[in-house]
Amino acid sequence: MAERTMIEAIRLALHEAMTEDDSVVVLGEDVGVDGGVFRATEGLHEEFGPWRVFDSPLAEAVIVGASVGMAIAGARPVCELQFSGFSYLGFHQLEEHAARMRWRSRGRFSVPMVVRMPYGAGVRALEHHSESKEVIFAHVPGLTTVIPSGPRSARALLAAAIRSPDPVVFLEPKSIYRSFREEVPDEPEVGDLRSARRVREGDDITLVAWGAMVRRTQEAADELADDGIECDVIDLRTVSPLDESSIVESAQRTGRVAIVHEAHRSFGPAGEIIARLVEQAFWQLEAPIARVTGYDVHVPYFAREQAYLPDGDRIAEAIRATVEEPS
Amino acid sequence: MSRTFSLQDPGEGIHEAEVAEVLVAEGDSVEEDDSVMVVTTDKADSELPSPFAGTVETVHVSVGDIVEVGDPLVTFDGDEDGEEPAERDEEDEGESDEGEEDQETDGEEEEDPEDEADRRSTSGEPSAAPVPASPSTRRLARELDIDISAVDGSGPGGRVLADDVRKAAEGGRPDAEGAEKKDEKRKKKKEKKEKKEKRAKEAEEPEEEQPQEQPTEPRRREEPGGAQPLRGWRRATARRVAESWQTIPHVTHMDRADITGLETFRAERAPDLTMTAFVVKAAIGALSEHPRFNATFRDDELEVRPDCHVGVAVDTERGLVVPVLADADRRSLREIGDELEQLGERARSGSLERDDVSGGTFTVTNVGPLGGTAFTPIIVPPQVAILGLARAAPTPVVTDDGEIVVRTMLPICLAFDHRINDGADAARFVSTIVALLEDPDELLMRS
Repeated sequence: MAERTMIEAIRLALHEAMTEDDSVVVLGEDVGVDGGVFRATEGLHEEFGPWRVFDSPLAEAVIVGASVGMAIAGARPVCELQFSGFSYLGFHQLEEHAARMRWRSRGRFSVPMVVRMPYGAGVRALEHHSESKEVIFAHVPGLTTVIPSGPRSARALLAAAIRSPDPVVFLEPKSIYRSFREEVPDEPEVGDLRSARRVREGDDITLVAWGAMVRRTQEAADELADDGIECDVIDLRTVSPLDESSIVESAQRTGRVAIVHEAHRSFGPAGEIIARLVEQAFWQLEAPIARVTGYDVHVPYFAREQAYLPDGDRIAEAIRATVEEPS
Repeated sequence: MSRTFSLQDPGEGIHEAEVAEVLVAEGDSVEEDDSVMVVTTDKADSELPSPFAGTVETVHVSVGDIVEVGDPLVTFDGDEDGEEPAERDEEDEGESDEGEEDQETDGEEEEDPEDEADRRSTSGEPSAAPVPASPSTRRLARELDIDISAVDGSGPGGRVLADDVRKAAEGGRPDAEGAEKKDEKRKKKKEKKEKKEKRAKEAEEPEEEQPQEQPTEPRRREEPGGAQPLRGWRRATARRVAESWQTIPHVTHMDRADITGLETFRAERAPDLTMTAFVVKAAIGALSEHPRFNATFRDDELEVRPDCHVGVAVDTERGLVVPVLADADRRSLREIGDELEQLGERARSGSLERDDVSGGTFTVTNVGPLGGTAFTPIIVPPQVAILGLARAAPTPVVTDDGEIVVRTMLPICLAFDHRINDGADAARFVSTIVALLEDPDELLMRS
């Protein structure tokens, strides 16, 4: 086992998939000779050659559209969009074709492709480089939207995404690409795109988070444990389809829930999670469900970026308020 | 919508207050920030400004009531659709008979808000929106076959809590588990934590209570006037001294100071300064040499204080109050005297605020003007000592030469927390005070 950053873990997963399956190809802006804007594909061009790892024009519609065609024809494309903020140019291909092909062809064609894209704030970037709009993809039937929370989950989930018979949007929280290292096993590890994972056990409140917010939420939970508040922390991993059974089971046990995400608050992912809980855990709820989220403004430039993001204090405050609510 | 103004948490661990004065009546129109009520906490009176503007619909309290944080005080401007704890309180008055309520709900499988509303309107009661309660509490009520709309809510805004439902169900089916289990678990955990904190607070207090003597009814010559609950300052004092006496192992060290010279000095130079001012000055001088008496002790932690704020007990018509002379160690004798006079006047006129009566690090209490040869004062927690003065009087004293002379002797009684200081420490501390009082020149040299 070796300690790896998340970007190294992603590179490992790509390397493993390409070694194992000749149909896996990698395309995107600068992913070939240059190794990708965040170096995720570094070395793959030299090792697997220009027919399997190649640069694309600066045109997201082409990247996604060409991938759809290759996937229908039998390849397993893993395309990279440089930032999720530019993915909308390829959204037409993703929504109108990738997500619909199995349904449209009544199961005759499937689209086994992965669209990787860095998303989220926290790296002091420019406009269009910090948004967290996972709901746009999660809202589309036929797409699986996956968000890893660290090196080990990134490697295992990307391996599973590449093996998936249907299109997967793989959102990579760029602020944790290199912010910490984690043990990632040398032997292949394939995750599960259908289940959330409990990363801390507790009886007092259920916390739901994903991506870069998992670590912040865990830190808040650690802090509150000193005051006797035991949090059940769930890393969602796959935003869509939502693993509601894990969340519902936990909420039925704790009766209190707080959801943390960096996406905008209104019509954000927490809204859907709360709806599921109201449908399935209503009679066990002891307090209103709390949301700790980004605000309903475009993500600010770097001077105010951290003020936009949920931080430990905001998370802890919401947890306390929810736990202390009399019922 | 009706809006209810409830007692807010004033902080510092205070969770209840006594209503001293109600400044509004039902039907009054009130501007935001108008004072609606005066409440007493810790012997300081605070005016409560209204957070809303509007017409007073209901005043929920009257003078003398003890209100807890979250209790409704005043409700403003009601619409009929607003479900307010106030309305329910009134409805529930006089029909607390649970049997009656049970009968009313007999046969109802589930509570249905519409049926509920119908039932109420046909019986002439105001129709009501659902009572505030969490879903889990509603489920508990259903499991226990309790009509939640008939339960008096003790939570914020009149919210019905799981405990309220259980209380309402008492005598009903004790075997309804389910939701109860978890709540009990949480409660137990909380109790465990509280117990732990309590244990930390009270050093090794035995779990068992002292066997109580059988209370005997006092004889009465005439018809009794009726027992009255303690109210106001008396109640605050009662609780505070009881807490102190029960938790602090008090020892009182007694000594006398020869203040013949000091009295001569005072008569000549500062007839307007009280003996208390001189003793406060001497105590501050001695505290700087014996800092472990200028300290606070809570949660098993002793904090020897670098600053010095001296409480001085004042006897007033309403009872005992202890205003605090802040930063006493930075004041001259003259300033101490002036400040004490002002604090005394404000204490007697009832205009002290909570800041004026909190934060002391040491206390002086002088019963001398009223008499007494010695007494055992009670420490003001979390302080660790209190200095009591009895009456200074001409006294026969045997000098070092074996002669008997008449001197003015001031009895000094230092009560101290034996957890923090020992008898020898107290003796040394008091000796320093005595030495300073017996040498006015030295006393005045002290900063």
